[in-house]
Amino acid sequence: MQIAAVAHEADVVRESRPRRLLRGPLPFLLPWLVGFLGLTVVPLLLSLYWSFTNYDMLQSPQWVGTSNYVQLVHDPLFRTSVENTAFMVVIGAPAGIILGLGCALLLRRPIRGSALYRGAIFMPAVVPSVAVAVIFIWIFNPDYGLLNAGLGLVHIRPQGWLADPSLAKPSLLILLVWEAVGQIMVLMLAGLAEIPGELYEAASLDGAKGWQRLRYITLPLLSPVLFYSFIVWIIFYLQFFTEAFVATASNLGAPVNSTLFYSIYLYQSAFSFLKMGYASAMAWILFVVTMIITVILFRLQRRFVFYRGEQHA
Amino acid sequence: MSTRAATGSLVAAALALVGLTGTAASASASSTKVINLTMWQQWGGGHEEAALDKTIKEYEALNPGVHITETPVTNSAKILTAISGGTPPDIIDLGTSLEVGEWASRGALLPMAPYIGSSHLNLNIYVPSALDALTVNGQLYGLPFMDFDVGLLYNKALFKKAGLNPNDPPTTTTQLEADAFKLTVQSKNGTITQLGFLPDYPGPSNGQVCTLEDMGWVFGGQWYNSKTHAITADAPQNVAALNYETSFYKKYGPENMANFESSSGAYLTANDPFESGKLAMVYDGPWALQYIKANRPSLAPDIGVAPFPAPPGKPALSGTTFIDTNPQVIPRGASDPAAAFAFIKWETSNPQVTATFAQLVANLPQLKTVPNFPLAKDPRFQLFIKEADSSNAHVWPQLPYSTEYGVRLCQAQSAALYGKSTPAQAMASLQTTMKSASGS
Repeated sequence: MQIAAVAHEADVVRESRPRRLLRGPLPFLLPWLVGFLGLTVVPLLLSLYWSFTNYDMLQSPQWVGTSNYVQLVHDPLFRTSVENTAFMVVIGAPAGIILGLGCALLLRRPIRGSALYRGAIFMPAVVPSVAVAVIFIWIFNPDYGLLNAGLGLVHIRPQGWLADPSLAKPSLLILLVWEAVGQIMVLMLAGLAEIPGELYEAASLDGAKGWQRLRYITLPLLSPVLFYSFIVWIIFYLQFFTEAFVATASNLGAPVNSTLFYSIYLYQSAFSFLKMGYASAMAWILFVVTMIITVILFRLQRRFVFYRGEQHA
Repeated sequence: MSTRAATGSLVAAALALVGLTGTAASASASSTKVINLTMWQQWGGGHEEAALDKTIKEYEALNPGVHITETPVTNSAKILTAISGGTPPDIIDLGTSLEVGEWASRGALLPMAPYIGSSHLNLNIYVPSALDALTVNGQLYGLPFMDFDVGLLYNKALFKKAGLNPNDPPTTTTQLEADAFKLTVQSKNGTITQLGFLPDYPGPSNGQVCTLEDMGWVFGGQWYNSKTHAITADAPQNVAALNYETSFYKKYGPENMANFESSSGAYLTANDPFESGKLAMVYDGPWALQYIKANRPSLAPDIGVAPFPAPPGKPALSGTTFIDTNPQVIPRGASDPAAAFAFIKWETSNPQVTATFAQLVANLPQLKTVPNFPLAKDPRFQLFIKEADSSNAHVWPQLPYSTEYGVRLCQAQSAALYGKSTPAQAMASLQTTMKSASGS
């Protein structure tokens, strides 16, 4: 009897599913679905098609096969943009995470004013990136900037910062890490709070010193958070655009292409040079590279990332 | 509601819409009066926009039923997106012709020929070089409004202080270099507090590509051979021009030059290097005089103007300049091109409007004859008018890839100035890149 009733109910469900969908979740999902299809899926597929065409947005695209991809390989500026971006990824992501972790370790225990320190370090994260870029353009000003004024007090020669081709990238990194440290610190603090105190207690009883406790307890138990941060920040630096665009708005990539990052060159190819096909090819290469890096990181995860939940299973 | 009912109501709604627009169209056709035009203009807000609004009002009064709505738009990506999306304005007033070649050759702008023919506009009223800036593949794509070119502006007070004769500006590039050296004050640690000449300034800010193109012309070079349709970036004269620019950077140190420029205020403000009296000579246009008058009245009488010097032994090249205009163009997809043309024809061929604007923005009249306006009596301004009509006034080549050529030219220039490559290498690599970009 009961079984029959359930079967009957299932039939009812099957019969009226479209109607139930319409009355139930679909109207709520629709605004998102429309946006997702219209603003993400369709453009994504179109850009894949355009990457095999010559397309200037004014005339209809012409199929050119893999010619855009072949040209990219021989384009010296493409290589420059890859090198500049690699610099940011390799230095920026670890620098932000190490500093963020450092701040979290220092502010982990409730010392006097720790809430104030935490707040101050997190503050940059709530400032819009365009505003940050504009402020730093002034801080980095060679003659009137705060940074050179500060260096002058300790008798260090004023630097060109954003104007000097060899310093422009490190200068941008200073700005970006300053923005990132607070966000990373908050994440790390949450991760640290999850680590049970008994483990440290037990380790102390066994005679573990501060460094050993960090190396054998804190870092392994924090590894999922570290892993997440690495992925997020590597992707951020691969796509890095806003601050560099604002800082060099009138002359993208200046000085001497030292801030010509991948996304900047992509934007320039599309909207200044009207090479939407070329830019689409760049976008797809970036997508594939990001994917490969993420897959590699997930593979490495098995060796370096330690999930406590798995121990019980 | 059933699917059929939904479809039915949709169709009904669509029919109603068609009906509505149909009536609107027939109403305007019957009265033949109401024409609404939109115009995107680059003058921005302030007194320039006010002058444009006054001009538009005057036109509307002469042509009852025509309404023109202007909006300040300077972002070329926005203009491009609007044209490619099929929703452009009817008239675009561009700040420079730098993108005209690219857009016109890709079908984004309407050629003027059909409208000129039917309206009997005589093109001989315009200064010829301004029309060159709007000519792509022999076709005219827009009408010129307010031309501009550049010459040597120099600070007489600084000349006096350096022991130079303020009424004897350099006439050769060699002399300019020597004068610049005397006009430069550099501290022991390299910081430049006063500079004679900054060869890549003001660059793109004043509507040029980046100064190197002017310098190439100064040395007798060309950037494109219109007969053979070939890029000529690596011409020896162009390399010589870049060599000349680089010699300044070598002498004072690239990082010191960069610091000098980036620590100065924005172009055409009281703190820009020239207006603040830190830069003695600049390759700039007549509008700079107006800004100085407004920002630093005491400095204004001390600014001398001279033709830009020529290379030694080639006096015929004296007074070389770029020439450009504010193109009034009609984009593809404009709702009423004929009405749009009627306005730009009136605007650009009206001597009074031209004189008013020339006085206001200190640009050159695009018309050969205009009523006298106060600024035209200033001999310094007259020099720019004379230059505009000389064979030494050049137009950046109008090609399908002009923008890319310009951007890469600037990149080549800065690579050489900062010693990342030699001038010859920089120009050779520009030549290779642009040859492949142009598909030749």
